[in-house]
Amino acid sequence: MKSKQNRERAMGDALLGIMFLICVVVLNCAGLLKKDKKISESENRSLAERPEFTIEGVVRGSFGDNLEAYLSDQFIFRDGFRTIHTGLKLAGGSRLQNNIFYGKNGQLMKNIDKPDREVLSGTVEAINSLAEYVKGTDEKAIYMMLVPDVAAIYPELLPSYAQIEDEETYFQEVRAGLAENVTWIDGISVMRKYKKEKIYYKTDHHWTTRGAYHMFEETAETFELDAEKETDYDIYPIATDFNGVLSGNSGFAAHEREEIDVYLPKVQTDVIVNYVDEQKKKSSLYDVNKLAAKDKYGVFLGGNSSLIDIRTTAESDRSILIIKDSFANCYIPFLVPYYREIVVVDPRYYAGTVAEVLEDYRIDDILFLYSGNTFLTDNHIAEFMTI
Amino acid sequence: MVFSSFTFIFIFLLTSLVVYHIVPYRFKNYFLLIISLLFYAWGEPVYIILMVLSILFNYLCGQYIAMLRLVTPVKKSGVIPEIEIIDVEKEYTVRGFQTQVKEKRNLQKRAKMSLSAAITFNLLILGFFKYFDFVIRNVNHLSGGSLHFRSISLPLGISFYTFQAISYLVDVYRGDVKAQKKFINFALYIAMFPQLIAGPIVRYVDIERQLMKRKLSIVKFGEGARYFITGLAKKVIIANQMGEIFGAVNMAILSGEAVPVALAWIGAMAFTLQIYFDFGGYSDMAIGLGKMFGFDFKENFHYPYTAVSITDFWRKWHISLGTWFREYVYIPLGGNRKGRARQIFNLMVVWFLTGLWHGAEWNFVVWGLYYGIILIFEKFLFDRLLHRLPAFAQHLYVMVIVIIGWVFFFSNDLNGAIGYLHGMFSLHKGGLFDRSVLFTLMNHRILWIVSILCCTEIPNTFMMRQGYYKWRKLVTDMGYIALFLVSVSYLIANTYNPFIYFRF
Repeated sequence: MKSKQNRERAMGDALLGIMFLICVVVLNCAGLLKKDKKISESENRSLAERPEFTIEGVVRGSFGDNLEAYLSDQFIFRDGFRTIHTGLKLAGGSRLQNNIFYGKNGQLMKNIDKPDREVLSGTVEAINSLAEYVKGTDEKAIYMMLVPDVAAIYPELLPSYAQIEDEETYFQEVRAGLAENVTWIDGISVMRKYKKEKIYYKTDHHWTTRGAYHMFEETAETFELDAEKETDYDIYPIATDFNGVLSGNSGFAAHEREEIDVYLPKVQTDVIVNYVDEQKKKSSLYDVNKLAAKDKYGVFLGGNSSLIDIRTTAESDRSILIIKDSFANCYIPFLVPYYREIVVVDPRYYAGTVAEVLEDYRIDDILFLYSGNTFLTDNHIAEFMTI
Repeated sequence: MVFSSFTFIFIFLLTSLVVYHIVPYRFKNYFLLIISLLFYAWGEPVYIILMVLSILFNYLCGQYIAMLRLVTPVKKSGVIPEIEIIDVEKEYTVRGFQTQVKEKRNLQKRAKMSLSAAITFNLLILGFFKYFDFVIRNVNHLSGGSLHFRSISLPLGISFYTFQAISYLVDVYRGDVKAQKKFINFALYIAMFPQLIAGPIVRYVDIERQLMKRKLSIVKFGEGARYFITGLAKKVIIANQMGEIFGAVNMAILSGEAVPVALAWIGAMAFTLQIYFDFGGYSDMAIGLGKMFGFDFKENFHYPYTAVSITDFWRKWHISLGTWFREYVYIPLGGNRKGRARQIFNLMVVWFLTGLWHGAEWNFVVWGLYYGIILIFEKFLFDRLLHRLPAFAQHLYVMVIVIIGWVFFFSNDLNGAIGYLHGMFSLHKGGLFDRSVLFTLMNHRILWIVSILCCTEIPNTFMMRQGYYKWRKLVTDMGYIALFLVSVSYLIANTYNPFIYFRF
């Protein structure tokens, strides 16, 4: 009896051996036959190419690493395998992946980490020194607009037991530390007021155009914008299959598709958008080429650039300098009818300093527009601000 | 090259297997040696020279000692036997060597001295590469000086192949085995890729016959596949994820954050699971790979977390290392045959060395001595008490001791270990419990349950029993293939793929 059982077991092992071998061979051959892909749509990055074989590379180990990356990136059914992996993790209870929460209602939320104290105080100091500088020279208005991250506005959508830092306290700290002539704009109360509407994307960390619009609405007075120029907007969905950065980075909600809206004013204002470093000029605030890529949010101003100079045909003589991260990109169109010139700087990409910008352009107002997460952790702002 | 990588599974292993099975029988060992050297060179292109030299050196020493030893295989008694000397007046040949000896004693003495010299040389090499930095650092610390030194990088697998070489030499001296006269076979014993980088530490006596004659069958190959798939899954699915959990908690504690006691424990438990499934998984893969090429290695882990005492635990954890230290340190020192005081001393020496073997840092030594002391206590004090405890108390006792032990193991140094222990026992900083603890548990709830279950024999016994029935066997086989594909998916998605025991 025992030996018969052992024989049965042996047959089972033999079968497994064959199946395993076939599996490995098939996966291998399929991978060899398949053509290499250049970009991964779902992961929003370029995929590794076949590495060159050099003796030096082998000795240094770089060939090995590159080969491994190549095999992994070009593996057959890579996206399928990733879906299996994410599915299993979700089934296993995972609600936090790569620092991104998979919240209720399928809302993805970036985790709010503790800010780097040094960086933060450095940034605030830098802003204050700028404030000091402009107080002395000529009357410029400085505004600070911090937009809260989605997790701060919708904590109830966080997965059970998840804990995040309280962004509001940090915002208050920043507010308290800023100089007197910096006008603080309370982003949190605005976003909270319109919570019931879709003011954030589900799969991306940005606010929606609607969210930006409400912020614009509520703060128009603060900016002393000419009330007469108020206009109505036509709302068009410029994309309906947007799947954002948070989804790509975490693997969650990979099949969710969202709308991106543009608010086109009924009363048109023409613009010339000058990408100064790239030496390109465009006549629209929207770059529809970006809609072909995965990160469709880039349709706004073509994504992040070091320095953009927007000249408008608006009946105004005011100009504004916006120091920002990507959140400002869908907000800027709302300002266009009110300013003759809008200079846009992203300190992460701009190599110069604020002094240079103030010299090169005639600026009336200065606006800092940042999302909480970026502002609390980015050290480029302070660097940019050295006078 | 790491076993859990695409390069290994889909390029190296596949090609090796195919060619190995095509190559005629008498060339198989040569081929296996060549690919093993390639495998090693891939990860260690410079120090492969060192390993080759070590193999040459130990091969020659083995031959020399055997020649002196006049090998007549004696039954292993665990005690170094007196050498049988034949009538010296007569000429005699030992495997083609012709010697004439004047004095009986010379042979034995020379053999022993040669053995000592060879072992010392091996240990010096190991000591130099592994402990040079450590020694200099401590000398600086003690003398207040600042000798400048260049950090020496640790050649891959040196702890493992050195120990294998030493075990071979001693076994030859003792007469437990005949010296391997074919260089190729000896080289293969040391350098065979399944066990070269991270064990198990294979004793020559266990593999002697297999080197020269082994049967290849699809059944054994399938068995190997089973071990390999299980090991891969353990490493890629469980160990890597537990590693992430532990990493997050550890980073929080190291950066001085206020971490609740419960979370510190969960971090330590995550590491406890990580190291078992990482190392155990790797051993499984090594055993599986061995089987695919026709070798049977002894198992290295036998469900250690089901142990009922620390003594039991060390009979189930890293079995090959425990065996090595017992055979080649404890017993030669006298074991338990020279009185209780000497036995305690012997045990402490063994555990001091065991700790030190794991890493060139004091926290590893403390880890080793920690277990040494507990084992002595168990042996002489609470042995009977432990037996009478109910099962759950025994398991609880073992796990608490083991988890605390790992704190010394995973910390960078003694200060770090004490800092972490502080987090585990002091309520001052973060209190006992908070929601982050629950979140960490819930975020991986299935993983916790599955890993704890896989620490026991239950899943394996279940799968093995299905093998007896025709249809269920097919289902379980497909289950293993599915497990393999899931592991592949985790490999694709995970960029985080460390291997802890690689520091050896």
